[in-house]
Amino acid sequence: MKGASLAYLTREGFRNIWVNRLLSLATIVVLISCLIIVGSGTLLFLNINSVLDLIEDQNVVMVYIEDSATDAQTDSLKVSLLNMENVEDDIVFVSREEAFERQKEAYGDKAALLDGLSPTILPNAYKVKVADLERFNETVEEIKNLPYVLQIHENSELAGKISSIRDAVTYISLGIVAILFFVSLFIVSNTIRITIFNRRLEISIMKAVGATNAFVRWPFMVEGILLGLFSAVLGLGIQYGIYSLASIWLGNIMSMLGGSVVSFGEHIGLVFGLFAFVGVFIGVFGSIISLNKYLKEHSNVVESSI
Amino acid sequence: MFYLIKFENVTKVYADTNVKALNNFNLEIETGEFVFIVGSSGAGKSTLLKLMMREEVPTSGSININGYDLNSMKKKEIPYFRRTMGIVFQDFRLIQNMNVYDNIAYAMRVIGARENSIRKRVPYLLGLVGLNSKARSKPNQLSGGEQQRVALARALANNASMIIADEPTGNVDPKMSYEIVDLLNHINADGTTVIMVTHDLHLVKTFNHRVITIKNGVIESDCPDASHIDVEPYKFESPEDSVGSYFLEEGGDDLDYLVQNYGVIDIADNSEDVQSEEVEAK
Repeated sequence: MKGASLAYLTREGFRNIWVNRLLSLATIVVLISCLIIVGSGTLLFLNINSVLDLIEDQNVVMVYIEDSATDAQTDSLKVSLLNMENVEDDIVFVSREEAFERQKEAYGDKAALLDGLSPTILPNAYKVKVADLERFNETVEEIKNLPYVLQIHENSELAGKISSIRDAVTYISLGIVAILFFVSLFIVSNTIRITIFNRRLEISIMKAVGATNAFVRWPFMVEGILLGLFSAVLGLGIQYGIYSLASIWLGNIMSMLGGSVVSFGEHIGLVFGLFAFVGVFIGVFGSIISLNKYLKEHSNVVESSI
Repeated sequence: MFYLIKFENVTKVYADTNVKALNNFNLEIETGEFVFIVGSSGAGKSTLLKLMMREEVPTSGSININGYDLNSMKKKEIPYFRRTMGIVFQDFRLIQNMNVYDNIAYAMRVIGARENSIRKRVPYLLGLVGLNSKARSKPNQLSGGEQQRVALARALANNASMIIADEPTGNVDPKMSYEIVDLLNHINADGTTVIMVTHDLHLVKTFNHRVITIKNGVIESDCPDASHIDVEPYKFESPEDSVGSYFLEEGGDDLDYLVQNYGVIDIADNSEDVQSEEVEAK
C-alpha cells in the first residue's frame, strides 16, 4: 500500500469513528464491559494471591541448631542456607533466650510453670522461608542434610495445600479470563459486523473502483485500535471506581484474614497494560474476523443491489 | 485483430438456481466503440455486466477484457483489473456523508493517488460534468441527474479505458437521461469505450450507436446503428454546461492536464458534427 493511501486511510479511520458515532459508542460500551469483567477477575486473582502470600509467610521452617555448634559454625550454617536456591534471603536467627521468652508468652497465665527452667533447654534456631512450595519436601530434605542441624520443624501439609490452592486459583483465573476474552472477541466482532453491514455501500464502491482487500481493511483496523485504546482509558477509570467501592466489602474479608486489600495504584500499570492489550487486540481482531468474513462472502461483488 | 472485450462461447449457469443466464454467448467490442445493450428483464444483461466486471466467472467459454484473461485471473488481480474500467450504476452509489468533491476524489484515493494529483484532477472532472459549483454539496442536495453526473465523474477519475454503465438513466427523467448520455457520448468521442445497458429505446435511437439486443441469454441482434429501432428520438437541446461547451468556453486551464494524460483529445460540440482539435502533448 502506498504512503499516501496509508495516511489517508488512517485519517479515514479517525473520521469514521465520528461519522458512525452511535455504532462506535456501542462498540466502546461492549468493549468496556468486557474489559471490566476481565479486570475484575484479574484484581480478584491478585487479592486471592495476596491472601495466599500471607498464609505462605506464616508457613516457616524452623531449623534447630545443635547445642554443640559454635558461633562460627552457626554462622556457617546460615551461609549454607543462604546458598540454597529455594530458600529466601530473609533468614531470621531465633536465639534460645528469645524462644524461651516467646514460650512464656504463649503459656500466658501458666508461665510460672517454666520458672524453674532455663533457656538452655531450647536450641538456637533459624527461621527459614521456602520460596517454591512445589519443591517444599525436597528443600526440607536438603536442609536436614546440612551440618549442625539438630532437627527441623515444618508443616508440609499446609505448604502442599497452599501450593495446590495457588495452582487452582491461577488455572481457574486464567481459564475464566481466557473464556471472557473469547466471549468479548465474539461480542465485539458481531458489533463491528453491524458497522460493516451499515457501510456495505462504501465497501461496494471501494471494490468497484479497484480497492484491494488491504485498502478496505485498513480503516477498520485503525478504528479497532482507536476504539480499543479509548475503551482501555475509559475502562481504567470505571474499574478504579468499581474497585474502590468493592474494596469496602473486600477490606472486611481481607482484614479477617489478617491482610489488606491490594492497592489499585500499585497495579495500575498492569491493569492499564492488560486493558490496552485486550482492548486493542479485540478491537483489531474483532474487525478483521468480521471483515474477512464479509469480504469472503462478497469478495467480488460490486453490481448487486445494496 | 485486438478487441477490447471478447466473449467466446460463454455460458453462465447459476449453481444455486440452475438458471442459464447466458448461453454460448459471443461478443467482440473494439476500443473506442459506444455500445448500447438492450433487452427485456431477465434477458441476461446483468449477468453480462457481472462477467465483464469479474463479479462472476463463466461456467464455460472464455472472456478477455483489456488484455486480462478473466478465466485465469487470480482474486488479488481483480482490483487492478477493475481500475481499467469506470462503473456507473443506476442507483448512483454515492457516499452520502461525503461531499461531491470527496466522492470523486475517493476513487483516486483508493488507488493511492497523491493529494496534488487529486487537487488537479477533481476540479477538471467537475468541470467536465458541469458541476463545478456543486463541489461542496452533499449528494442528497443534488437532483438525480446531478448525482449521476457525479458518479460519471468518479468513473472517469482514474483514466479508465472503458465505462460500463448499468442503466445509468433508470432513475432520472428523460431530459436528464438525455444529458447523461450526451455526456457519455462526449467521453466516448474522447476515445473511451462506453458500454451502456438501457431500457430507454428513445435514447438508443437519439444517439444512434451500435445496438446489441439480448434475449434469453443469447444475442438476438447486433446492429451497427439504431436504424432498426422504431421509436422517436428525443428532441432535447444539449445543455450549455455540457462537456463540449465546457471545453470550448472554460476548459482552457484543464486542457494541460488532459494533454498530459491523453496526449490527443477530441472536442465534440452538441450537434452530430464533431469538431476535432488535436493538442500535442507538451
